[in-house]
Amino acid sequence: MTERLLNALRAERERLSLTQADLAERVGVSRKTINTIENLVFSPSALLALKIARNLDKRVEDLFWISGED
Amino acid sequence: MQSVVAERAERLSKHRAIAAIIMGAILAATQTQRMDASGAGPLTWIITGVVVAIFLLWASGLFRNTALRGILNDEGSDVSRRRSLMIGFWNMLATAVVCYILTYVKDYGPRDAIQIIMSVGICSALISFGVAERVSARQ
Repeated sequence: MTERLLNALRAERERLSLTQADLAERVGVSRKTINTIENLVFSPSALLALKIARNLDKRVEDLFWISGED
Repeated sequence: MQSVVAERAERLSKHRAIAAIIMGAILAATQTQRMDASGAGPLTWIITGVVVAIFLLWASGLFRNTALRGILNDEGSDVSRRRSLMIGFWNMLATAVVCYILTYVKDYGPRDAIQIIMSVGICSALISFGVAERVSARQ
């Protein structure tokens, strides 16, 4: 079975009432990068995942997890 | 609210994606047209090369400030770029195989084969990059 990196990015972002553009700016990437991560089009690097988690006041493992491990 | 830099990056990113698709399509159309003629001469290749090089430099944000360039070439764009390069590479290989097989049924020189292989590679890489970027921007 192929493992996938899932995330709760959209839910957490909406919890903080942030738009994709707001989060993108905080992290220093484009809005489309946040969009593609939320839509599971691509998996972010560890560096970007840590930056996103920090900006959403979450631990990275609470925000990202491997499919089948939840 | 988005900052001016983020807004500009968003706008430039859209323009870059559209420009890549248009440029790929124009290149494909002009190269296809030349197949019927005597093939592309050195001057044509120089002009094509310069146009593509200028586009790539503009698209990489080389003439923009560091912050804008950073957003334009972020991880998402890097993934699209790597994918499109891979698509271009595999298409070139596949076209080379087709060109090899065609030598058994049609007479054509190495110059024609190189023109076909390069055109397919460059055009498919440009178009796939543009499409990937457009799809990524869709919510």
